[in-house]
Amino acid sequence: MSLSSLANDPELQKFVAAKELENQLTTQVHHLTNICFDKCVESSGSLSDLSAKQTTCLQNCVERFLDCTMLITNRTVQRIQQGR
Amino acid sequence: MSLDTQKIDSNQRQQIMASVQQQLALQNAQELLQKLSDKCFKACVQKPSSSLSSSEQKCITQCSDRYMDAWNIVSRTYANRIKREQQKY
Repeated sequence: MSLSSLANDPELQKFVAAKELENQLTTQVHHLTNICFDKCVESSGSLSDLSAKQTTCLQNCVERFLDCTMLITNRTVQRIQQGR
Repeated sequence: MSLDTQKIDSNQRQQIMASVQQQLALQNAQELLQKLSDKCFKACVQKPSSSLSSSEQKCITQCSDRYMDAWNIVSRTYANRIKREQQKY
């Protein structure tokens, strides 16, 4: 089994590509959980079963963070296009 | 075993795929453990003493449970958001 035989195997390539994508998503989940846990759970002090309020906060946190990222991306592209 | 030395057989492929899967799962578990320790030590152990008190232990246990709960909620929310974004196009 050579490296070239691994590289030439289409099923393996597809599998590796899918796993890489999955890994990127999982990394993002770790990152989001890190941020949102601080905002929604740790700061509220209580650590017994997540309340409905904390759950909603976590969901909102994820959505708003992604909105934030998209906004920044668009703004940055805009600036580049404007030549600044 | 295939006579064509340029190809891998399905057995080898399965083994490689299982190995990759295992490594990724291990990596994920390690990341989670690291985050749990960091978060919960910070939240629960203000003044490190010669051992963990029972209240510190309780806090750490609860903290790690809550963090895992949060992880699951974040994971689901994120996956749903991605699906929604994909449906736009």
